[in-house]
Amino acid sequence: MKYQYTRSPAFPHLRGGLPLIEIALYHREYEITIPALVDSGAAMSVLPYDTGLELGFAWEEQTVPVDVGGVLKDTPAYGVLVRGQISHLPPVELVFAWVHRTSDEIRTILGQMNFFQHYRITFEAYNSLFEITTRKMS
Amino acid sequence: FERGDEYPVDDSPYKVAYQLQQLWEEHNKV
Repeated sequence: MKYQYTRSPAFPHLRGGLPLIEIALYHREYEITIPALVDSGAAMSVLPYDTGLELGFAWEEQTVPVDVGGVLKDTPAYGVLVRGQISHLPPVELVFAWVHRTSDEIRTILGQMNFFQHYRITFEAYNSLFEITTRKMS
Repeated sequence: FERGDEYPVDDSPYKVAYQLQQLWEEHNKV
């Protein structure tokens, strides 16, 4: 399925925008639908703190600490598993670094580990389009 | 760049990706 890059009204002359999608996330009986950035340059997927709380995760109960780097360096984070679904594609098992930063500070990011393991993703920034389809194994 | 078999080809990004991969694989074993 093809998606349009999301533009910002504040920058009407900016070419392209950001590759954002709406994704439904499920954990136990919790379900939320949120915007997320499809980021081929991110080593990992990132879940903001308050978004994790909405999915029923408890920070004190987490057992898998992960070492996030880059702009999130030294931010406490745990690995969590969430079921995710975009548009009509089958749901997949997603792994996130749940970080101690709120959604006001960082976006939900869908990165190489493991969002890009599940789909074939192509970007056409020059057409303001990107496409996410089921993967083809080589 | 060097030629790979078919295509041309700070460790922290690799480290966190591997930590998350291990969590994913553990879950898939269950």
